[in-house]
Amino acid sequence: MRTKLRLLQLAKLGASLVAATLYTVAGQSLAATERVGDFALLDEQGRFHQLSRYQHRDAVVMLTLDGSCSAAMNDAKELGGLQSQFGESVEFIGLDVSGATRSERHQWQLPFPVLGDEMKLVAESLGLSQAGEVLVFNPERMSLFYRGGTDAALNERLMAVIDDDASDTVTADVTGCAIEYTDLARHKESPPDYSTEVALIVAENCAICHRWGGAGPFPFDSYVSLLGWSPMVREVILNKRMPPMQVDPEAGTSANAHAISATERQKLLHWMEAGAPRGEGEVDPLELIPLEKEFDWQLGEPDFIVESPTNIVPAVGIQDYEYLEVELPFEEEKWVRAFQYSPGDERVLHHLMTFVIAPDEDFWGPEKTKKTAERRFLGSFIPGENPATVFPEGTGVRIPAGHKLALQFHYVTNGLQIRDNTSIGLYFSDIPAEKEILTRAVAERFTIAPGDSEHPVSAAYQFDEPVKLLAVRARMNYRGKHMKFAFIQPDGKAEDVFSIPAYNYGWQPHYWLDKPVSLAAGTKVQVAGAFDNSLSNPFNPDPREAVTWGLESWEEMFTGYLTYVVDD
Amino acid sequence: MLKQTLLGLALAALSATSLADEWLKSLPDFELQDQNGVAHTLDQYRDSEFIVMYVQGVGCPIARIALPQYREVRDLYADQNVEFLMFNANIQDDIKRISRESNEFGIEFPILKDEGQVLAKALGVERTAEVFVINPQTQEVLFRGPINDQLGYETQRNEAHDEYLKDALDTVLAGGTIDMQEVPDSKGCLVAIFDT
Repeated sequence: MRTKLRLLQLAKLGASLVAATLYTVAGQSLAATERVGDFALLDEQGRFHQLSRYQHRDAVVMLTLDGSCSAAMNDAKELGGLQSQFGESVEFIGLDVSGATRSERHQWQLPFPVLGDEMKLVAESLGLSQAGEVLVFNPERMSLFYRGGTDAALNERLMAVIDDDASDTVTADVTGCAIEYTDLARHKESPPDYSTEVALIVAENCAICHRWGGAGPFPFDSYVSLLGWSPMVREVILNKRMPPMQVDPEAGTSANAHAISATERQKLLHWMEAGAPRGEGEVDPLELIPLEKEFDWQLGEPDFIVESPTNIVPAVGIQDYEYLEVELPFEEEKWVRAFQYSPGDERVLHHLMTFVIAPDEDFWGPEKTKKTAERRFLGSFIPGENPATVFPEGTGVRIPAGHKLALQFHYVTNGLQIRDNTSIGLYFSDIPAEKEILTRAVAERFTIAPGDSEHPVSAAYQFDEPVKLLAVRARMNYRGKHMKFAFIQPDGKAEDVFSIPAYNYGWQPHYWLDKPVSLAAGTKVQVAGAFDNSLSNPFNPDPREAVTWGLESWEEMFTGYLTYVVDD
Repeated sequence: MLKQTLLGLALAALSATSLADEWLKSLPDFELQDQNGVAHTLDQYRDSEFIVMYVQGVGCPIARIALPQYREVRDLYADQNVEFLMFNANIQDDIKRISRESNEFGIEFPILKDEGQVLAKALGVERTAEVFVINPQTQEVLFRGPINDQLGYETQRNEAHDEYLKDALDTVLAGGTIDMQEVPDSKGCLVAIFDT
């Protein structure tokens, strides 16, 4: 019975894959509009592209590429011509389905970015059949204006688009090179097994938060729960919304950055394409995931507990930051070797940051008046992360006598009024740490024009002593788009150390580097990024406003934080 | 339960079938139970001017946050003989879970459990938090879309610029027809549809 149903499903999927062609045969008078799902990928420079974030453009033209397909590579040149003709209002991108490396894609020297779709998951979801196939997207309605080749029909269609005379999907013939979906065919024949493969991927990558009592809004607690959520899972994997806090995997790594490997993404999606079968496994691993355990101080009873007063978070609406300054009762300096947050309610507490400040300072310390400043940053809380941080052996954060703690809370609303009581447990070392952990804020001031989708900003700082870089953090508000940390050694050698290609205001972790980076004295740090003040940025409160630098949430800031110790 | 096969995946990404005239479909006759075990039939709402139906889903952030906005529209049309309902077609949400969600979030609307996804399939449901305006006499869907433009994925605005549901109700109450070209697709959690 089950086999029969699955076969029916296969037939259905096959039918929808060729549906566009069927309409062509029937002629264009049917006025069918083919809708598409959102997707996101990185290009050959590690830059992030997401279809739904091109709504400020009339259209997005995407050419399917394969380095071994000369027809498609010739088409790319044709497309360059169209780009000079329509580039004012139309975005041009390439999609590589041959698994070319970034440097290979770079060597193609195309006038548009080439996105890497190594497992062809995006190509599958868009029903692409050939290298050389062009899709023209309507990014506002998430549909297609065109599916075909690079010939005259494409030019004609783009003319119609810029004349605002297009809404349905026009299809035309393509002469390119067939894309082989061998993995998909294999997985449809023999789907990844639910209980030994699929459920484990979900348990490890999603159920950290999506479990009963966890920070996620719903749990994956059974096969049926995953089945019901699977179209949503597929969508957020394809547009990289989940897991949150993804970074460029080819520019530094951090345990705070989340990612599902390409093979795991493929297994999950192909299992769904195959009808999401339960398989033969007796045990359902998702049913065995325990309730989020009760809070405990993982490192034992803290030496000192900072209690925050109750913050009342309303049921709906955007919340401004809450600030809190805490006087400490110590008469001598203290060295923090570890700390742990005890979040009141992880469903609404989206971040909490704590700095050590001088008696006459507030949360922002010297950043208020200086573009670059030395800070004592204790750490941050992010839902789903381990709330405890133990600093590396021999290091610690110093609290000079008489200094205070300053906290910044960011709440998101979830439909319920919530009372949040959060506290921080501090663990001191008996003797001063050998090395003091410091955090260098490197910032720039600017004004962003209304509607600007890519307003670049960069800031630089030179370390005059050798340092070991331990962690980085990007700080922007709603319009933040991306930020990259690079180093220029005294000998002129430049290297990317960490890159956040899709900054999200709602998820701002402190990225502890898997491999601390030693920087020679005289190394220049460059923090480069951009803001998106266009209507394509879903977090933008108002694309019609010019925005200037400022510390309030309706203003914008551009700060890279570098956490380090002096390395002698 | 295990014999269900997933159909919903093809919806957004692969479907070429959403011809403009198929977008607004018809509501079938129904007899469904709500979260409190109360039965609802289309017949009992025949005398309403219009029925509004909200696609509810347990655990969906947008479906939760849109609740006060749905309430606000209901209150605005309180004396216009418009019926405001919800239904849940998620296979992962049984009556027990729906009831727990409605208690936790204080949902006073009847949430009809769409067993077998009969309503969802007939209406062409894609996402939660979408609302449908239906003429109970003809059973025709006159509008479908978001309540307003306040909510997005992991984001919201404190004020709405466009009030799609209110505009739709004003239009149909005045005897007019809604221009669906002006209405964006709804945002919410994708509902998986099965061929049981």
